Amino acid sequence: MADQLVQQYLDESLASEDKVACTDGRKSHTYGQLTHFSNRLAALLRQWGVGRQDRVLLFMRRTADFIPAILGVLKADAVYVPVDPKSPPERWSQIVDDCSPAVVLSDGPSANSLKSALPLHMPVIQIDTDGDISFTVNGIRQFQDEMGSHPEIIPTYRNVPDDLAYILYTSGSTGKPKGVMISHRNIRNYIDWAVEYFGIRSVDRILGTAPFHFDMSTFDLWCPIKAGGTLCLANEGHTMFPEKLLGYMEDQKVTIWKGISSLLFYLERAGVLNADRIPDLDRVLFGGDALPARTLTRWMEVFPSKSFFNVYGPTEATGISFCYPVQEPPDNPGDRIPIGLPCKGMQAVLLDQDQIPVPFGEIGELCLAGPGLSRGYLNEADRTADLFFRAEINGAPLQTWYRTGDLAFQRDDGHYVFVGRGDNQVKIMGYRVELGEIEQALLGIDGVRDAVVVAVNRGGLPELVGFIEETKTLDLGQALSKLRERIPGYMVPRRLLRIAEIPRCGRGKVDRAALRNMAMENSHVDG
Amino acid sequence: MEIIESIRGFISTEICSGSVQKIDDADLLIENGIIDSVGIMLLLGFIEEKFAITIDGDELIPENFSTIATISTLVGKKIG
Repeated sequence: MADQLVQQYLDESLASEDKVACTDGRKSHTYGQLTHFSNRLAALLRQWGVGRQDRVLLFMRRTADFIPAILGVLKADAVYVPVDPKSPPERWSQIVDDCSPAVVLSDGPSANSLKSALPLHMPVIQIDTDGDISFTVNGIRQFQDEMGSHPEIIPTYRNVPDDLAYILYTSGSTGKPKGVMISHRNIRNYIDWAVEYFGIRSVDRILGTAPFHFDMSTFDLWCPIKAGGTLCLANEGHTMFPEKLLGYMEDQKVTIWKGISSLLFYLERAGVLNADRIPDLDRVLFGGDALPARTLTRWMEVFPSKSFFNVYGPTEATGISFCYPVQEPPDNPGDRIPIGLPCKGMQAVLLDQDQIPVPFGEIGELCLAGPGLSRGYLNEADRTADLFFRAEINGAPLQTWYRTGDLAFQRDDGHYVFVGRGDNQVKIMGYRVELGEIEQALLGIDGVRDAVVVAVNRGGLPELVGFIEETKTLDLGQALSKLRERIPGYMVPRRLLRIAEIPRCGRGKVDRAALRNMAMENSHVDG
Repeated sequence: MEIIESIRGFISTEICSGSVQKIDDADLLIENGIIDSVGIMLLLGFIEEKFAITIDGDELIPENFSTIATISTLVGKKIG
């Protein structure tokens, strides 16, 4: 099945035409509408010259319209690139420059704010699904007759399984986001496995809380269509307020949720977990970051009949690479919850600095191989070659391995346990953040001679603190404003501290441990 | 006054990193993107520690967190 295309999940679906495929609580689309809307969109995209493997930038709010949009892009043989409408324009520009989209797809006037980041000639297609689907291109309403799409054209696919389906941008240590290229085959392998493993069926209603520009959403977007189930999209108004989220899950009768660990942490912390709540939910997958064992214990005590799975996987390996079905609550609050074993088809090895497997039980860098592996980063051959390497390891044939940068060890029972990072990457709300990218953005501010960013633990949550050496006295508030114009809000340090000289260990390496201590001591901005 | 200024101070300096010039009592925090999902977790931690109170799940609702004034009212009520 993995030799087919992602949009064929919809073509193959046994769900009836009038079954709801996706809802955001306000707007819903049936399976019939998904087919009809995506066919129309594919026809329009082709009319505007979009061809096989062209990129289409998606600049859309978090609504049910996202689903027909990505299906339409794939049916036009193109590649979807979701961007965060809340990111600053400079980041959009970097992404536009890197992936050179053929067109931009938006769902409303919000695209006006994107204009400054786009080349002048770039067509902006706005979709509107009130009633039938309609389109406005560069501000001019398109009528169906002019589109030449009466009767509805059923697209013939020219893309092949190794063609790209989407590109997701993640934080890059050199100061520029990097685009991870994911193929149809990558997604089909992942989703075919996930639907079978988690027993997802047409009666299932899957809660989507992950942003679309984040790889955790791949599960939410494609599992329901493959299974003929329903995606229930939650928005930030839900995820910020635990009562709202639980209420939404109850209203929608959600049965499966793959959530960011920090959101499970937040719900528990807010004290809303109660045995008589969310009765329909029976499978809870959590990942994106390590969940404290005491939080999991609490969830399992309140909901003993629900199943819990710790899932792990980098964007570069498409989705879930490791899974640990939790049988018993952790013994101690300080325990690390294992990430379990590699999923079907995936292989894992723990390597030392010389790329030699470490002895059993010792900590090494987790490297992955298998059908989930991306072919690498768009326009970044050197970085791709550095992180994706070909080798014969443990007697396995020559194949490509991806170095995750994550450190792990194997327990006696073979299960893998994640212990941390080997570099300067941190997770903020499940987002990968390269401290180097923030440092590069700080160095771009006039008056900053040197900058180092560290992450410290604050009440169970990571907090970013920036240290700067100045060449002249800076207004720190203004410096932070400038930073917000360059990088997404979750990457902006909560505090900036001035420092006369950044402490260094031997050979000039930054003493990050000393800086973390200083950040903990200085709890307020040193204005 | 002290409660509201303390909340304003925390949101200005630590949640939006000093990038907003001045946040008025009635400015809409969520609609204007001043507080997002990371911000609300930090704010909750700050309020509970600073005022030695516990915000319950049914109090953690948009109505109570829409502006600095409503947050301050909630905290005032909790302190009693």
